[in-house]
Amino acid sequence: MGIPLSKAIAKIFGNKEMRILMLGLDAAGKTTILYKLKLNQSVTTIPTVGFNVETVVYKNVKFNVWDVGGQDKIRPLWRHYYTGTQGLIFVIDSQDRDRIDEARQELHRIISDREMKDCLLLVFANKQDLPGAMTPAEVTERLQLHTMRERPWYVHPSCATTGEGLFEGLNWMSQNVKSK
Amino acid sequence: MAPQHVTTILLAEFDIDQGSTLTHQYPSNITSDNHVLAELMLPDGAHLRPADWTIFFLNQAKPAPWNGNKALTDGEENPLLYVLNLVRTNHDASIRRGAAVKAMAICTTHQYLHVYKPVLLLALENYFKNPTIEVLKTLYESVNSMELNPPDLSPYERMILRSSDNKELFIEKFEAAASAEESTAASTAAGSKIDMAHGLGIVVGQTPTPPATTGTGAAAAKNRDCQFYETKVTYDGIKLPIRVPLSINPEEVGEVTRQERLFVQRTEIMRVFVDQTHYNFHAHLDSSGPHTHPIMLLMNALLTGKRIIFLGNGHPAGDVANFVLAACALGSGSGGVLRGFPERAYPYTNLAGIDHLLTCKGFIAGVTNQLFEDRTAWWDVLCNIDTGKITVSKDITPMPASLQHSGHYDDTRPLPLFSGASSAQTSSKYDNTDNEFMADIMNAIHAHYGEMVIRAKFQDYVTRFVQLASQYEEQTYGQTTIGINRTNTPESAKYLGTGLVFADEASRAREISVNASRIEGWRGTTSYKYLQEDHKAWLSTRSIRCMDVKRVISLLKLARTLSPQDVAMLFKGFLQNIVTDKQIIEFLSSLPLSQGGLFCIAYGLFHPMASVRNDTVQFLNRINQHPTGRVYIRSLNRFERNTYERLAREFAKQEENSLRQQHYTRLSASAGSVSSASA
Repeated sequence: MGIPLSKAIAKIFGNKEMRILMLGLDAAGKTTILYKLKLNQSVTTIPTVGFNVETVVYKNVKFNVWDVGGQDKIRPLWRHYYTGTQGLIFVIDSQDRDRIDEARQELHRIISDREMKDCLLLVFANKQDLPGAMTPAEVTERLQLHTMRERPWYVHPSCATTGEGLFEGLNWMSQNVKSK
Repeated sequence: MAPQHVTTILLAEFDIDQGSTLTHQYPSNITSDNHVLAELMLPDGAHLRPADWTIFFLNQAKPAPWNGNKALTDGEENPLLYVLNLVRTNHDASIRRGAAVKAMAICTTHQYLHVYKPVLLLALENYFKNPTIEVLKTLYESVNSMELNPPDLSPYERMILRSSDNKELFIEKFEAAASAEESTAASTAAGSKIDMAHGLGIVVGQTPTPPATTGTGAAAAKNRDCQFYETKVTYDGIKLPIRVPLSINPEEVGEVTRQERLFVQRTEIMRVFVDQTHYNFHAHLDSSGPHTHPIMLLMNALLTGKRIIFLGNGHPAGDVANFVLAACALGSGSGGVLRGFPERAYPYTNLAGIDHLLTCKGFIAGVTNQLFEDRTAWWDVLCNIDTGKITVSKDITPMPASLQHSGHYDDTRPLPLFSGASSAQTSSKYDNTDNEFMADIMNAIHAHYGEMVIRAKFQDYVTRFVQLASQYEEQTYGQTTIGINRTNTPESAKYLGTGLVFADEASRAREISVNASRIEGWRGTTSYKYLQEDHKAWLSTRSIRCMDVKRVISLLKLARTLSPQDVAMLFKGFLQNIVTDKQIIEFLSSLPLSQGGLFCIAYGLFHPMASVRNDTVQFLNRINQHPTGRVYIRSLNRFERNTYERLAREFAKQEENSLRQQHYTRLSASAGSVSSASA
């Protein structure tokens, strides 16, 4: 199959750990994604004051997922979470066309930070179940992801309430993470 | 105008579009940094729980007076403010995103800020129903209309009160305060006061509370707990009782009730921190080498002004805040010995406050975000309240170079100063009193002693540390500014000298050398500078100027044989120099009732020399005249009390006899002259 030895060992012994930071505008569905991953059930969430952090184990990889509140005034605090982050999950409300440009600005601000230069980028085009949701291709386009050449990125459609697409996203993360 | 109890009421809410927002400040703006304030009021994880109480302080970046700033204006206009904050999350399906998170806070200059909990709870409830600034206004007006005329207690009187459960202590002061409030009851209260102070006979087991009178003040005094001043706040038509603690030390913030919350908390500190991870051996911290008890490590970090973090991952912010307050009490000697702890305490803070936090030289902060654990550059010592681990940062600043000059105290080297010490001593060098002290504390906790007892032990510990430091200074630098010595108390040579009492010279040398590095660490902190100021002020205001009372008492307690001449000299000294009410109170404050009170003085009643016995009786008689002294006399054990009563009677008879004899001689002399004249 030709997988690198390190990955094979990691798969056998299952000792891989990944620090994930999940960001996005408010009400994009970050907390719902987190608890769907953690508990495999849809929970009713209220706005996050501060952050949530949970450990999710999937395919022998331990994901430490930090979900940080996304309101305008608390975005300046995001930077404190950058150090040590291996993967960024950026969550988009695919129905919210009005704020997609705001989301793009925030995303580019995050990944231009020096601390984030080596981190993977996974974008969840969330809320696919809602009518008129942007397709992954459209989200890719609006976020101008094609301008990023150095960094591995991946856009995946998701629906946090049903869980569709979430584990596929994590799978991509675990496949692409650089072994420490 | 009466001083304001509460300076400002704040209201913050978590705006679902904006984030943390400070909505109202009443009556006026307290800060311009609204965002950080809002973040502190809405702690991390507030959405996970229905309510959370937190505490934080404002105006901490107050420039210290010795940095060239005049303390005068600063202290008046910007006092340290204690903020009690309640955050609540109300789930409500009818509003967008299903919940409202709001927080209300009371900013006060009173350190006993917990008394406002009930009223704050009601006010926030009202604000949820009716979100207008009117709610803040009503709250502000009702808390500021609280009547507060507690009895006026001096620091010494507070110390005495702290050490005892006795309900009779300072009852006369309560009555004075009550009668000032209720002029109608004034005469009855004063009458009973005089009644109490009268009579030399020892009233055993009889409570001198005044008879029930019509005055409400006096009636209330009857069932009063002398540890508290009781008053009330009327809010929204509801009368809320408020109990203001009276024996609280200047630096104690928050609730210090007996055996209640803080006791549990302190026990928790003890129970939790049994393990420690060492990245780095640090002489400031590891005063007992590898055997340093974790609590002592924390104590040393507090004394030497390290950056300390309490992390309660996922806990309510109120939990870590309580740990921080308990730590402040620990380091400051239960708030009664050292100052400067609340001003560097951040009972709850989060990432929004980090920039400010990092400008503070040695903070004590509580956080609930586990991110802090990874940021080893931000702190020196981290206490995880879940795992019970105390971690010393690998990035801790090594010992400053200035310390190397006192290298002869260095932990790893032999001690040239005491070169007589054998090499065997170095191995037992770490076997210092700290571990003994901690064993004592753990025993007390396991035996369910009250919070006050534990606090008193820590207060004694820090007092002793200061005395030790002053000896160290005398020895190393030839002078001290933090202790009693021959220079500032020349008469002390007559009364057994000054300073801490040690078992022998070797243990003195050992203790000083073991403590040298943390003393040096402490000498660089603001709490040291505050103490220098305080000591200077104390020297000029103290009422007993001729002896080191603490030393004299510990000598008397150390059942070591003082020569009879020394003892005779000492009791003469007491009789001559402790005369006024002020002096008696100052003297008694060094004899806490919880540690036996006057028992070591009453030993004088059994002394072989008659002059000592007589002096003791006279001295105890004088103490018995003082209302507080009477309580002390009453709490002597029965054997001592009976002896005292007997000797006092004998003494009185003797006096009477000698008076009569004098009178008789005079009389007979005059009679003689008459008879000779008639003859």
